[in-house]
Amino acid sequence: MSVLTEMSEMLQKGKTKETAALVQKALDEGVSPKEVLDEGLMAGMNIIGERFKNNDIFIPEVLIAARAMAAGTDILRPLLSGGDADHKGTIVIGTIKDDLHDIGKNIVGMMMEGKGLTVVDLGNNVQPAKFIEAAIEHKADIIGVSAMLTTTMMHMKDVVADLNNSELAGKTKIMVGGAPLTQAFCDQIGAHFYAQDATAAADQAIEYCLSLKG
Amino acid sequence: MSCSPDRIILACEVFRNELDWLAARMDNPPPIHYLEMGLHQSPDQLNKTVQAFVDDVEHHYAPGLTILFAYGLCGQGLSGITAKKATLILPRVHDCIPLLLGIDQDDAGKYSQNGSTYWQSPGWVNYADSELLRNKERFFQEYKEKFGEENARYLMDEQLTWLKNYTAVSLIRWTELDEMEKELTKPPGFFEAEARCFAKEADLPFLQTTGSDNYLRALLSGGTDERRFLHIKPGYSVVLTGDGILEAVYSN
Repeated sequence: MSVLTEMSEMLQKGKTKETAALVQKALDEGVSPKEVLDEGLMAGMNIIGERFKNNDIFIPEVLIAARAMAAGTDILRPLLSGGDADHKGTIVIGTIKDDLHDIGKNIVGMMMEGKGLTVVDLGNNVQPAKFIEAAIEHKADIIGVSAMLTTTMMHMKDVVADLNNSELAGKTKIMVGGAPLTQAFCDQIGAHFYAQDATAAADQAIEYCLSLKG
Repeated sequence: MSCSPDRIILACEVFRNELDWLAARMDNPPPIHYLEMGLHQSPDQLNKTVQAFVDDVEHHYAPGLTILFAYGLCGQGLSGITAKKATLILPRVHDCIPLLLGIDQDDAGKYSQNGSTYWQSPGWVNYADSELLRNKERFFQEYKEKFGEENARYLMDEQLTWLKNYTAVSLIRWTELDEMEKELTKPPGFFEAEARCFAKEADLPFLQTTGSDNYLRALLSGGTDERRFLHIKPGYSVVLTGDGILEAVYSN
């Protein structure tokens, strides 16, 4: 079994120390940091994403896999080139104002990082204007807004309005998700993407960000 | 208790203590069918289950039936629910809390300190009993066996961190609560003690908020006030507008 395959398997099992050790082993054997990231860590996280989407595994398995991935990327981070060619995209995420639920949003963030995207997590109970401020500061390609309540999801309209009144209008896109969200609601408020689950959120985000690179 | 064949209530289990209490003190209360708690976490599943109930009940009951829901919109689980022949009546609320408090949806934010209150009620106490917070040791051992001790500690931490976002646990207390406990043969102060335990496990202050039976009482009596109850004619269904209002629209 190749070191990258073994790394992917250890990540999927949530074996943090083993994943980190295999990352180091791969680097010692001369595998490039980018290949370790793409073919080892992200390959494992992609499988986790698909299995989660299909309800083969659940939140605990995703959380420990993401933890193993983070242990691996911690080793790779200083070695990966900081050049634009390797920057896939930036997403600002948060749970909307008056909504304190964040496990789902956290999983979305992990999945997006698993795709190689840079994620800026604003936490929960985020005021609409804060999404825009953060997106400007971090030059975000996408603003991801989550809600778990039908009362709080109404505030998402304000994120759309604030974006359209900002310097990012026409540039940064808004993605919405969370249990009560629907495509119809996304369309109604003028958001750009609706993600029905964490895997879909990450898939749509990376597809859009890569499309920007042409 | 006699059944009222022209009306039936579909209720979330969260309301069992309250609805059974009120129904037992009515003449001719409608029959009440309960669905398990927690379906709101998968709104699609809630939707399918509720629609299946409506379809089944329409098949077996006489024309002119009214189905009342002891539900809110519940994460959009009740969106799109429709009947061919029956009239559906849904409280104009987004979840169970306004019904337990006996308040209109517009006042809910004020009561919950803009979402930072973690509510408890007799139904929620019963539900919490099976959950992670009240069974930390059991869950930890299961995780440890499956994923190893370090991952088990991480999972317990990660899955309980969300509680830190809340500012208080509050028990919704009806004036009838003490009498309800007696009738359920629970020890005096049982629900308060359980809710306090939950607050302690969550490391949050414990509060109590006076609730009222007025909304559920109105539901049991037929939900006639259209300011508080959405009436959905046959062929129509519930939608949530972009302004957060529940409306009945024609659904083909």
